[in-house]
Amino acid sequence: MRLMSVCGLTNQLKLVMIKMNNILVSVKNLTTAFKMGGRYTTVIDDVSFDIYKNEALGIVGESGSGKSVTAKSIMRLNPVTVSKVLNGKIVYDGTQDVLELSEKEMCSYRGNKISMIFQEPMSSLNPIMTCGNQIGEAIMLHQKISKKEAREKSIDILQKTGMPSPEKRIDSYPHELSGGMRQRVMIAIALSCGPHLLIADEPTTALDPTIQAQILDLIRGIQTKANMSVLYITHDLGVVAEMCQRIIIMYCGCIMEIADTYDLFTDPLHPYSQGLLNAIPKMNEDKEWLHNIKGTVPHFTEIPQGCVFCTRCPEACDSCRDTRPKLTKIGERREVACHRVIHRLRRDQ
Amino acid sequence: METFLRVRGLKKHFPLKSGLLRKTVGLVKAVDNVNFDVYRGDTFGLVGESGCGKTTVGKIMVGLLEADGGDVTFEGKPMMAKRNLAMRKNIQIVFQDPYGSLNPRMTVHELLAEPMKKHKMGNKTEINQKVLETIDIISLNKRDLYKYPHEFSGGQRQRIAIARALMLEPQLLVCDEPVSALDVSVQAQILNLFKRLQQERGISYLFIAHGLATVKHISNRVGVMYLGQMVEMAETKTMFDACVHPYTRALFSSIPVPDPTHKSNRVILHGEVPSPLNPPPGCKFHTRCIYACEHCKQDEPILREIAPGHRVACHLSEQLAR
Repeated sequence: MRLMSVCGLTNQLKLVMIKMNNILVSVKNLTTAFKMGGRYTTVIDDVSFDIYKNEALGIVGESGSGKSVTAKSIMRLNPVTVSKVLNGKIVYDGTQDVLELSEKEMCSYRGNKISMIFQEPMSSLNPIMTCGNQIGEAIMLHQKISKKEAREKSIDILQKTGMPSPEKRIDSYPHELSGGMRQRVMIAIALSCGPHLLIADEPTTALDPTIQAQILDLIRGIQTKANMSVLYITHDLGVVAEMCQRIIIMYCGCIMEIADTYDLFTDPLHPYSQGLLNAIPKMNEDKEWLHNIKGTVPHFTEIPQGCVFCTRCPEACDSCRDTRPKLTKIGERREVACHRVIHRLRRDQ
Repeated sequence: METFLRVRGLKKHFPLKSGLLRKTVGLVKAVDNVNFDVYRGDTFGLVGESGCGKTTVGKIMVGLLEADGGDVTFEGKPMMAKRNLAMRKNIQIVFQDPYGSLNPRMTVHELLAEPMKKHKMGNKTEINQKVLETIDIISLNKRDLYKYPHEFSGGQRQRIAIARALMLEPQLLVCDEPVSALDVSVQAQILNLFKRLQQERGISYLFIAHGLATVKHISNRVGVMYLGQMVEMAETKTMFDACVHPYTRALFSSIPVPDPTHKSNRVILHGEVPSPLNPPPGCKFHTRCIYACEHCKQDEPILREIAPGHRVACHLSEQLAR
């Protein structure tokens, strides 16, 4: 009897271990505040989620939902002068808490283990450095190689991003390139050191649809080849439906729902997820009127005390207005933060 | 249906100047020989990538730019390149960015009253009456009249911009990417408002956008532009179910569909849009087209009708339509 329970325990431990090993980055109860008008205002509130190895995870939200701040927190790129992490941990590979690293240690981690691409490639590239030097700079910072080797490596990476005639383009300045090509350079810099996680913050929002298709195809190809995880930050539900296995829905600095892509699109649970999915015009259906989420996203100073969505939620009740629902696990890979949904599911069980 | 705005052979060439004496060194053919019709009470959607000239078409329609060639007739009357006030009154525009298109130093009331004052329509009480009527349409509160634009959210500002365009009771509203700058949950409100206005007042729209799902939702007919030219034009249903031009096909297939069960047979185009300063000879799309043949490199295809109401500018349209 005792043996069995020990066996059971070890099995359980194994399961936990496997799960632990599978988690690349674990964000726990992250709360970040920004200084606005002299005082700190919470911008993301108690955000917890895991990024598994080799997965594509999407964070979807409207402007001001805190999706970019969350992503930048993982890279510690939020400006220290105006922002402050009030609470939480970001555990990388089960061991390190990123938030406790020194700035020097952070440098070897940023770009090397986790890298990031931004929405507007023109403003994130240095206008007075050639593309080759910018890619080479990233490689030389993390690896001990000569300038010549770095250049060769840069051409090689640029080639992998599908840049036409990379030997020539490597000596171009960013302004000489088109938007799509600039984004390829950004991707080349991000991939130069073989990171385990690529954070893509609206990587294609500034691009035209046909170029967007090229870049998304490129990121997807690289992800499968290089065995890395990708965290997509976007407001485009189309992009996440195509690119991601799991999706996090954020609103006003809080996570509303975490679900597998298929589950989210076929059966959204949170009223906000439902509203969002119904509000977008779809190519494959004809609707006279679009579903309308009433009202607007509240200003960051007017975030309600209870559920952040209660002011616009069609199902809001008193408890929604009083207490903020916690993100609760309701399935193997599904979490939701809504009193009514949790209540309904508990009652059905 | 009654043709209400008829555009034939529209041209707009921007000179490119360089050097000390600002000598013209080239022409950017932003809009080159574009034809289309807008029917009364109908919505014509204009789609294309950046730099294809769709915004230029919109600006010419409102009179913000002068066309270099072509005929535009509005309600059967030819529209001169230089407009008089009466003509401007009938065609109004809503811009993409409601943060940039409203004067930050004017209150909502001033913003809404300005067009009527400019056109010398009515006295003070009439204008006030009209302002009150209009804010009711866009579901804004009477209290909001004396607020400034910065006090509103993006969606509310866009509604104010729409109200301002409506003050003169135009018959045609040019909407230049009216929802691209707005949040997803707010876009639906604005699109519904556009539809309601059309049903109630019979306004026609020239709806310029790059979001294809949006265009499909709102338009009755759609035109696709590429490098200053119209490459395909059809009724919305035909366009989205059976488009023919290789560019249209690639463009439509490149839009990510918010449905994980959707099987995409995506056509990924190689290369990028060529510079409009130096467009390729022949068919402008041949540098990126997978079907391009010798014929395409030499002769420029014209927009011709392959089925009733469905026009395509491609030499191979018959083969591709099959």
